[in-house]
Amino acid sequence: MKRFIISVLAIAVSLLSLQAEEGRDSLTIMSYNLRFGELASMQQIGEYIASEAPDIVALQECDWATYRSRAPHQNGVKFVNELAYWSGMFGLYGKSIDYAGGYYGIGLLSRYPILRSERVLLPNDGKTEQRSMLIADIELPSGRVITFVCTHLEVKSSQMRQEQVRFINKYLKKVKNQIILCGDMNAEPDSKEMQLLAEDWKNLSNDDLTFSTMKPQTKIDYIWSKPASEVDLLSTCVCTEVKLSDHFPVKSEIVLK
Amino acid sequence: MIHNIMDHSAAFLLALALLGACTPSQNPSEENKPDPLPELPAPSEEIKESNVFVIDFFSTLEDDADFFISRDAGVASEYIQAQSGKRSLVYMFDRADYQIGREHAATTIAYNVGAFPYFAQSGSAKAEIIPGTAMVTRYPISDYDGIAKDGVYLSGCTIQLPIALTDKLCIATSFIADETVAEAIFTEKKVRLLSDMMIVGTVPADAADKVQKYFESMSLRVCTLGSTDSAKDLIVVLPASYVCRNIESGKKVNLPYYRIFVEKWM
Repeated sequence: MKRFIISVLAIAVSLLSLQAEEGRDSLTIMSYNLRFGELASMQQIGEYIASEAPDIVALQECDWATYRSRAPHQNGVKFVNELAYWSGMFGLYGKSIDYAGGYYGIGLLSRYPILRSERVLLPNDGKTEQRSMLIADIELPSGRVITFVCTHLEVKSSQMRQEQVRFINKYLKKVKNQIILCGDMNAEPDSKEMQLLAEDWKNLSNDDLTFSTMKPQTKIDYIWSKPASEVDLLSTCVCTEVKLSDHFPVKSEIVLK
Repeated sequence: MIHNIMDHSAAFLLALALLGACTPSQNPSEENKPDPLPELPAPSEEIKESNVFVIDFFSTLEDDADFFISRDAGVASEYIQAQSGKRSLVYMFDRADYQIGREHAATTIAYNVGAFPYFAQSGSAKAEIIPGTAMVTRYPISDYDGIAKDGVYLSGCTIQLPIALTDKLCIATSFIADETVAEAIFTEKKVRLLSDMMIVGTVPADAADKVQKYFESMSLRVCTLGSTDSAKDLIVVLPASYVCRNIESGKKVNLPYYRIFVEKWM
């Protein structure tokens, strides 16, 4: 027990010293697919997020005032607004499609103000659901500005996902800030599309299974960052005790050099 | 429809002409000193009500602390919910500052009224309390634009205007400390300011004249409003195709506000 306490203290001290080190920023990042709130209220999810104290959270499957028969308790609910309220963070919503009287899309929560943002539609062949990415420039307390990207890739077609990954890479090429890309990629680590990402990006999550919470079978939720050489991974986990969605949240503590 | 296209074309050509006129010369010292400009066309005297939108700007016009330190976000929410007639496009709360880890007024108000929130930062995130403006709108916003450079801050969000001409406009805010800040803003956002970005912000009362003249020399329309005893003036900066038709002042309980009526006239 004593050794455990000492170990915890040592980790805490090393984390604090890292945070204080000149020019380095420690961040806790989370990615969470909410499954349109079918399994929990926004208050439950928001309070859970607050308890984990992340700095930035990427959210997928977020409704804005929809009316779904599968989640009647969420009728009319504006997910990101409610999550921002319950977590005490800033919220940003990105619509992907009109759906069920409202919108369906992605979002993000940030402890720090968002300077600039953009919702960008991803390539689509007209046969698959329209997907998007949400890009936000966020100023950290150190004054460093990072670019945070949340996305949710195509579910069925690997070809389309590969095209979307190539598009994301090309679109973000002009960005000079450290970029953090999170989301439900609908692709396993050894898939062509994730291998494509791995060429330029550092994977900041492990290979533990993220879907589904009822019967974990696959890893499809990720946290990436580039330039790879400018970021260190302190710790990462798939929060398997949390069953507020059909996905587990993924959480990583990182240091930007 | 054809009329609309012609209106768009005219606005586009005007923006191009103004942009050309404002392009800096090769000499750096001449930067942002435009060649003699074509005079801004006078807006039509007749107001087309369907092209008018309203912005509510809540401010004490004092350079003091957080607006909500002694005011209730619940009262602001009630004002928004109870508004009838021509509802505002966006509600802005000057100096609704943010302390990291604390819930911000924009989030509270947006939660209460079911609208989209935005915190327009007007100072560095290095500070313990980050100065800024809370913005709340009923219209979906995902695209924010701004400047955070060398102490100059400008922040805004793009909204699809609910007027007959369905244009998008970035509604931004800034504390424009002096003419130098105005010049820095124009240098960074020239293209948008001449076409699809407006600023509703504040300026120190004693700098208002110079700031106004600077923006006007860049072919932007400007109106300011202040009082003899306020530290700051309200300033509205618009592309030439928009005009500020009126500013009304009012008070909801202890929340002073200004209703700004803007028309897209071209």
